[in-house]
Amino acid sequence: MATTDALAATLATKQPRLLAAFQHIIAQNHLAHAYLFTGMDGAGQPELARWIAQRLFCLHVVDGQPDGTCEECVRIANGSHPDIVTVAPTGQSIHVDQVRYLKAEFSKSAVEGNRKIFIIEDAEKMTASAANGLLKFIEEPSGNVTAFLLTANKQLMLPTIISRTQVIDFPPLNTAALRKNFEAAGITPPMAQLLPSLTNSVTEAQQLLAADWLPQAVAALWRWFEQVVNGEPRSFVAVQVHLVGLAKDAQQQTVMLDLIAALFQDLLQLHFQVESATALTFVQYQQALTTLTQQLSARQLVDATELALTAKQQLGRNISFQNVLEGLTLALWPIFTNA
Amino acid sequence: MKFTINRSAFIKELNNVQRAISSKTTIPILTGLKLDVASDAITLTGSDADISIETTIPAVDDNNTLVVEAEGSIVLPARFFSEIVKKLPEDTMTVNVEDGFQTQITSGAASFTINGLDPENYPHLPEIDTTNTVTLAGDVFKELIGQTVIAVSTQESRPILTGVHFILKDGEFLAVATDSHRLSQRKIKLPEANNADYDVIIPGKSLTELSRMIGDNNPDVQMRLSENQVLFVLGNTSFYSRLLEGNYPDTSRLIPKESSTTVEIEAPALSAAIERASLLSHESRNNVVRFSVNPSDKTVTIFGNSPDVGEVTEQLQPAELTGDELEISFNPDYMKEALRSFGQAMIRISFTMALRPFTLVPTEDGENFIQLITPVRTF
Repeated sequence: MATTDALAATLATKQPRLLAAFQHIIAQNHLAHAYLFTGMDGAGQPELARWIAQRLFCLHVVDGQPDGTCEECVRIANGSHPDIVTVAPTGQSIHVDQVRYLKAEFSKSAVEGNRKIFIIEDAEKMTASAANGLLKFIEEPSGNVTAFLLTANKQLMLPTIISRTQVIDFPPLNTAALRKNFEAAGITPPMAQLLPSLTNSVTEAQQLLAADWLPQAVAALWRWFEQVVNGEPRSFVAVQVHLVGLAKDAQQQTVMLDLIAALFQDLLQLHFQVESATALTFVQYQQALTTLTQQLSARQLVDATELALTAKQQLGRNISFQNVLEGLTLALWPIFTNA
Repeated sequence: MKFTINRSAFIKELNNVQRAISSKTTIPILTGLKLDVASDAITLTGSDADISIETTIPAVDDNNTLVVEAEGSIVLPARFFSEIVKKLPEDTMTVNVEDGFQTQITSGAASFTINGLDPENYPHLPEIDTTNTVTLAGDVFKELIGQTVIAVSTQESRPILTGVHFILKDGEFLAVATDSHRLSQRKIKLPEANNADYDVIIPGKSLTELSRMIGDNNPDVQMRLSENQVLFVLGNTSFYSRLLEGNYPDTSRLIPKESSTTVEIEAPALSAAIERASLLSHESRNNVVRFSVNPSDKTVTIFGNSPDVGEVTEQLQPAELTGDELEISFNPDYMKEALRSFGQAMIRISFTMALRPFTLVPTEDGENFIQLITPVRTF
């Protein structure tokens, strides 16, 4: 059971600016009726939405902070408050019956007071028709309603939804601070360097490191990557032999593709010498990456990066992981062999 | 918390409360039943967030043989608790909350210990003041619900139409429901409620559930209103329902004032004929029957067909027929449900044009109950 103190404390470290902003908005009574919270997983979107809920419902607000101990705060923290409607995807998407439930709730009065709050987690996982169905309710809610749509990928949201909400960008947590966080949690420096581009949350990071999964994945990816850039046909085989076995569930598959995208991002960064070397994801391979960029043209790098980014979208469309990676490998060869 | 009670008296109230409890709910605590024990009564509460039912068992009633030893509250898993209570061996049972939320239920030699939940986490029912109270006879209210709920929409695209619109103004109580294809409206004069003023939309589902609770012993129903919920009080039982939010469409304009053709006929006879015609129309793609009024020989012809199966014609002799010749087509299911709500009465059907809605009213007291059906264009 998370108390508000813990909630406010995490928010104060993660998003102090946004916390202060919302404190001010609520004090001025200027809360809009729909918000889109966008930012990386772990950047504090659900925490902020819950904090706002507690702030609005709490019986004893002190200095613009909910006390976290009254029954309203406790019930919100437990997820048992009937006027806070939370919907999260079960599996790959938010189902039709969940949206039906949401619509029914949008049209009914509150159970206890006169205020209702809707929290839709991973809102980009609504199907287009589901999202369209919600438009009307988000646009002109009846009664005293505030909706929070949380998403890690604003690009996948319908533009019509975005235009009807106030978009709040959650900046990624300060990488240096995050790395310190990870190192404090007992994560080795090279991994702590790599993790910020994958996740902002320490618990998720520890899951990735469980049973040494992440270092193995990075090593295997690197081997594949070297073969790909040299245009070796072996790399196609490597997908099945080395990579597919490592990516057992949907989460691991996404992380693998994120890592590939991060690799190309590093290449781009080195090529254009944008940032200091410490910001790289794959510091341990910096030497190899630097020599590589010298052989490649900007055009090649951009093309390859684009391919790596679309791979993740393909996975979201239920194309099997092996197909996605093999397709990527085949598409990358011509780019690098024409060098 | 500890009390002893007569089991059959308890089961009777438990069954009432259980109507509100649903096993599929998003808030886990709502699968539970809340027990509040005070020195002079115990209160049972069940809720699925949309409706909540609260019932009180007073200690003064000797049939209950209620003995309270310690006051307190607990939430118990409703499904298990009710099954346990129904299967206990003796006439009385004792419920005792021990340390924490562990609850012991004993009766004779049987003893159950089940895990309860924190009553603090249970949703609070709104406090509703008694100033804006309307009292209706149980059977009248049940009839009103039955007559209007049939026209409630089941489409989720316009959630506001899934409710019945209740308006109380100037001592007149008006209930309207429409799904935009048909409309049903009922008025009741309530001279004693002159100063009360309502304008609310109550979900059709809640009303259906409420009408099931109004038993045959015809208790008076008191209706009270708060900001977000409506409360119906039936004796010791309180029935809360959430309201639908939004603006209900203005339905008063929809009802035509004049008519060019009127037919008076017995509702059951017409209903039976429509039923026969719908046997075939159900098979066809657009499910309509044709209704032709022939003033020259004072007959009405009902015609239904299905291109695949065949066709049916039936000629009726209405009691009264005036006005112009007319041919109109409509969905027979709407007609059947509307006719059923009139019972055995004689009704008057008033048409204006083939493509304009027509109305059905009882010939006696036609002011207070009206059904409206929109025809179907067939050409």
